[in-house]
Amino acid sequence: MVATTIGPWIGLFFTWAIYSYLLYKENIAFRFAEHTFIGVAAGINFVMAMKTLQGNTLQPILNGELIYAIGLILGIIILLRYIKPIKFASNWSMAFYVGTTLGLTISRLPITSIIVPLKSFFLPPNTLDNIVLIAGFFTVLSYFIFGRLPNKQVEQARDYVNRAGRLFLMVTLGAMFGASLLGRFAMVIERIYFTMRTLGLAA
Amino acid sequence: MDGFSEGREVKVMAQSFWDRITDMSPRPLYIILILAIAFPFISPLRIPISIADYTKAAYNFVESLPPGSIVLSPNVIEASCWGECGYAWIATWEHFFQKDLKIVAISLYKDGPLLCERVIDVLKSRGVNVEYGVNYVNLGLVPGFNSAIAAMVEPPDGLHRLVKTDYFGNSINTLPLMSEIKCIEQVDLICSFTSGWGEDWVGLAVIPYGAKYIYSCIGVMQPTLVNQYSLKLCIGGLAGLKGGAEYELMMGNPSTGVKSMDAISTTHALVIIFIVVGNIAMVFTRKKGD
Repeated sequence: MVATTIGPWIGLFFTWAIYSYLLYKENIAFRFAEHTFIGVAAGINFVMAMKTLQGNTLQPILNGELIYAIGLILGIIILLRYIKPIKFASNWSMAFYVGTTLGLTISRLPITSIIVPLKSFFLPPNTLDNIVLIAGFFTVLSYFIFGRLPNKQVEQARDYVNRAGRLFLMVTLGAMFGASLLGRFAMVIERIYFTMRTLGLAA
Repeated sequence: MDGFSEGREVKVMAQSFWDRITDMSPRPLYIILILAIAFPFISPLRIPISIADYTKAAYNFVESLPPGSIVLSPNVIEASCWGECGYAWIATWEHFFQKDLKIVAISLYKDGPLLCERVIDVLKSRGVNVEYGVNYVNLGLVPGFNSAIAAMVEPPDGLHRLVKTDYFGNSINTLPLMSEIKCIEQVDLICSFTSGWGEDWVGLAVIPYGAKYIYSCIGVMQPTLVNQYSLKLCIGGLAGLKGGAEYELMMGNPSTGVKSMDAISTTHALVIIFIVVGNIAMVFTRKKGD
């Protein structure tokens, strides 16, 4: 059934106005959609930021929870970077923000991103999967170790290992690129399906 | 025409055909691609979909939760990722509501609150019973990523200290569901939707507090999901559009995700054909010294 509300039709217009750049060339509909998109995105960002500030910062301060004023003041101080004589003050807020994030990241995340995943490479070499995983891990690791080795023969042997490491890297990056590219098709598929539903061509 | 000139003519024609392939505009390919996407929606191909272990594990865990369990459902997702994660989002939330679980949605990116409402609209249109404040709450945007996650999970009342109002401006003290959840200790499951990988929640909630965690990511993050699943850092997960389709099948309710999988198959096949033809053309048109 063809869409009977205005929303889908507006969505349809903007979708195909953007696609018209690829299918035809730069044109007025594309430019209109592009500028509208940027304007709307900026507007949503602003509204969301204000809404969050109002609900989760200003309201508690007005209710007497003054600890939230620290965050607000640090936020205002960041904006001082636009006033030259007191520009330096914005570094205090940045230092607080970077310090907090870094503290959290250093204390918690290396466990998940480095130490625990390392476990997956210490496997018994009893299946082809495990052998490939172990070989890939050690050859790629070797590829990124640049130190000198004791003699030429060992250096030459490492060259072969490094080549294997490079091969593993290329296959991995190729697979990731392919997956990323093909994943983008999911987005196009959603838009085409949306178009077909709006026009009543699909259920 | 003698044999010699006939052979030369064929050679010239073959050369120009491959040259034309390498020089052709991509626009006809886009049109073919659009047709390849549209065709399965008109005439479904019903290509079988295999279900991954991690999707099964996620589904089985949700099945095992008793009614009334609380699911914290954070999202770090942009509207542009809807095509990849949207169907998984709809399918999992539908399952939660069917099982009478309670959802506390929180967004770490600005598009999230609107997408939550979009999912709820779809579910309401399917007749799912959603009672705001009782079995569903949208806490809106909470900026800060890792810092926000660390703050909200912290006992005894991290979530209440971090969030004061919901997306609609109501004080969270007025919402019955929010009296049941103060921090990670009351959460029975974290179900995250992300356009990245789920290691933030693993590092800040699973390892320190032993939270149960499943997540839905975009397709390219599937290797990370598989790794985390094999290391038991997450209960399970849904990878991209296929994850959504798999979950719909497990629920016995094939919907848009399943329909879209046919289009995924046709487009992938088409891209492989384009790559093969492009490479053959490159070989035929390669000049000496290239």
